[in-house]
Amino acid sequence: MEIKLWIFDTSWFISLLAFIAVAISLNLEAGYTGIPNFGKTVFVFVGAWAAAGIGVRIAGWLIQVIDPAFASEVLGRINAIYPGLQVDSLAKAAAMVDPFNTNKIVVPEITAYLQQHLGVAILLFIILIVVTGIIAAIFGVAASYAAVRLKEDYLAILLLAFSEAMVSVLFDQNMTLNGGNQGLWAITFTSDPLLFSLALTAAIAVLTFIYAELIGNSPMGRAMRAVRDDEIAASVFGRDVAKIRLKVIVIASIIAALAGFAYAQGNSYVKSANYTRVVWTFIPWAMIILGGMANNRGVLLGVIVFMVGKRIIEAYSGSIDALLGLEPGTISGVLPNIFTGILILLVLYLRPQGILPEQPSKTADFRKILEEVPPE
Amino acid sequence: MPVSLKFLLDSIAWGSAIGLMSMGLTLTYLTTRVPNFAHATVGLVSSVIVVWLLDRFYLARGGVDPSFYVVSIVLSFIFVGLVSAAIYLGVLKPLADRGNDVINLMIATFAVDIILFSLLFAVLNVFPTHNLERALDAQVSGYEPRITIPGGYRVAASTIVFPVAAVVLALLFHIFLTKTKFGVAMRATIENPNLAETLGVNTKLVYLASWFISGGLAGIAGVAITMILSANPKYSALIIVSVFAGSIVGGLSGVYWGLLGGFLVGFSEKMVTKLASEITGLELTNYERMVSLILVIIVLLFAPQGLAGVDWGRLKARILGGGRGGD
Amino acid sequence: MDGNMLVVDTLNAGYGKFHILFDVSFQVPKGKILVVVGPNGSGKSTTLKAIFGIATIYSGRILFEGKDITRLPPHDKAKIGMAYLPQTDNVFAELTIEENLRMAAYTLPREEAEERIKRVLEDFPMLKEKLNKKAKTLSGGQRQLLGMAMMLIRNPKFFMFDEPTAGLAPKAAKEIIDKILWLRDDLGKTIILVEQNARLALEIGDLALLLVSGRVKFFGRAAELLENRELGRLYLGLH
Repeated sequence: MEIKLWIFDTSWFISLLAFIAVAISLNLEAGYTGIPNFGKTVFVFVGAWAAAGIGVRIAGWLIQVIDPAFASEVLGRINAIYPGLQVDSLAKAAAMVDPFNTNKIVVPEITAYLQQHLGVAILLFIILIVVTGIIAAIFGVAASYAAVRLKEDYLAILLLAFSEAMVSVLFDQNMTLNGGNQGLWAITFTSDPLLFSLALTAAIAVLTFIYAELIGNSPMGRAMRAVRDDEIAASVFGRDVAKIRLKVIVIASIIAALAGFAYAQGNSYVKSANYTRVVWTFIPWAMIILGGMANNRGVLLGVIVFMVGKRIIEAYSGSIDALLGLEPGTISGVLPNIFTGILILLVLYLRPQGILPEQPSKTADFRKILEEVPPE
Repeated sequence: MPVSLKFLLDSIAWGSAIGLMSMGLTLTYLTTRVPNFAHATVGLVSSVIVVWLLDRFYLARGGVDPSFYVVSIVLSFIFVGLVSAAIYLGVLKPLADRGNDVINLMIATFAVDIILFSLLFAVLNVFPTHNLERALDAQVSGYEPRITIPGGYRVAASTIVFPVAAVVLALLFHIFLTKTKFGVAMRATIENPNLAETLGVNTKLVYLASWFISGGLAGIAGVAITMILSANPKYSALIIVSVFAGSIVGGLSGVYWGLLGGFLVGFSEKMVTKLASEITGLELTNYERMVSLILVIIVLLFAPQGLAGVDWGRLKARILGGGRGGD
Repeated sequence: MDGNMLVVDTLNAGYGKFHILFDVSFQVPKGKILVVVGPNGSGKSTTLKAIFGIATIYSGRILFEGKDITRLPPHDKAKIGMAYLPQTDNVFAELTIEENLRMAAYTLPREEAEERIKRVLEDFPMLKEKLNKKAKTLSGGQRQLLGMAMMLIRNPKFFMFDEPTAGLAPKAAKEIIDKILWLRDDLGKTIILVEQNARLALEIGDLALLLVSGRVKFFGRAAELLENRELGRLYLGLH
């Protein structure tokens, strides 16, 4: 099934919904709690990795356990094609790209199998979702270790370094985990992966929005804002600052990873080089600043405005190349990025509070209370 | 010796390039308090100058001679310095004056990075070349004269030129900061802008000058990187983490510490992974990013002020004196 | 024109919306020391800041040598001969003593700067010994002396000191006070001195201004305030 509304296709909608979840999760960290997460990329990629590098291995292992006959049949065929290989583990074959790319043979077989065995598909799906959550939480805990100790700019730099290093070392450079710079085909569950991805990202986006709205108006939300506005005051009033930061980062990491997992269903050739900090860190930041931080409706608006605008630019910049007689991609490859950058600068200059600024919270701002006491 | 002299020299050259970048990054952080994500990309703007010089002048005349280095360094310093100053005047200062906090300003530098990176890519892509096949990805180093070193290896001249240049620049900068009126005023402004302002220093001009110098230093580093790798803005993404790591490891309190920290990070990235590969027999040179990250983590956990904050006198006494009293 | 270098007339001032000084009036005659005393939080520092132009003035006038300088910005105050030494951050700790003095001479032409620095070093010999040392290696008292030396580079007529002896040992404090007296007695300067130590201040001052909660409780001869048992006991910790 393919959607096409003017210039907006299924793929665009999948990205839109994935970004909604990621941006809202970033907003929980940065907008509500004041944690400048410049390393969002790795958390999103964890989800994509769970669909690909991890997913194919677990799928292979699970199917081999449940249906060894099917597994040996597939393995037999592979060993016939590559006589030097002699692999007996479906999991291993599913994840291999080098020296032989058996991944691209095994994955379609697994996908076909899942479509015929609904029970296995559901089981696998649940396992992968849980695994995604756990790994994301682990990365989140690691990141929060820094968040507890560092201030603003140092923290931003460290989280960026953390994300870049993790992605580069674990994934870009390392063939085992996710096929290195070649990438892997991910497990998809249905015969129409785009539709499935659309449904999944939609579900995650909706749940994330509802969750964020609920938490924003809860005591936890007030605590988060207290930590953001005045950490010392927050701890004096009994809030465990470290614990709040930890909770927020872990939750936001899980959301981002789930979004990544769902996104990978519709973009099932997963390569870490395709998950750049421009797309998965900078653009979410641009979206929340555009829309209005600490404000879920604002973030939603920011995501939509940004995605629509960018798509329009993409659609029409192709014609600029043709007009100027340039190779396709010369201008259209860079124009959307240039516009993104200019847009952000304009927003920061003209309306840094975003389209929908934060509504004043119901509890008094501690700084305002402080202001009433005059200096010496 | 587990590594060759050539590799040692290459690592020193790489360390020098990162060091120059970190020095510039620390400078603008000290004056205007903004960590500049666009710094590496700004530095790589000089790749256009390098390609242009090579293509239009040197290749037409038979090749690269020593003047190439001087000309490209001087031109890059000035040109990239101006670009950097323009970014400060046109983007950061107006945004800071509007009351944007440091996180928003960092995002602004992120935005500048994207814009600049895209423009640079497009320019190199369409740049009309006469003698080179293509501007983008031009392997400039292939045209360099080679120098023979002990051991029989031949290294590109840039391997020797840039470490020397880094030392010379550090010395020049030191002279500027201590022997010139404006340089002392810059140090004064870094420490106490209000007091400097009261004494008649034009602090706005000092900030602008710091961005110019910072850009100039990055531009020179950019020439080095273009020579060591090739002419492609994608390298800024590769090195920006190392550059930040260099500034943090050095400690964001003095420019010379930035140079030292950056050198240490760049050098270690190459050396540590190479040594580890030799010792363990595994292919570990891909773990360079990890080295910078680990160095940053160590520093932030144990010595948050970086190398600058370490009490060297006390450390020396501890190691040599074996813990006598005196505190 | 009377013999007053500074006239403050019904001054109302503060920071932003915090009103600190209420209808403060006093005069400082040429060549005299006015000491400003009073309990903590009474607005002593604010008075100096308002005169120098770094606090908000709501109403009132400040006249310097007969001219209205109420709205004059701080860097122009230096040009007309006023100097202000705040309590903290008054020297460049990372710069050497010589560099500090050069910074103080920043706006002077080269030869004049050299001459003034030489002159000041003669009057502050303890600084001459440490020319190449960073200011942060100086003791508290030496730092205040450096601050005074920096003020003197521009040869101002009028000095304002905000608690220069705070946190100093008695010996160092005496050195500072001696130097301030030297400014008046040998160089004929006019001075406002904010001091926490009321007895010390009143013993050396010519005139005294007692501020309590931002209002003038006494303005007159310092000796008179010193003898006033009631005010001394209530506000100054004397008697």
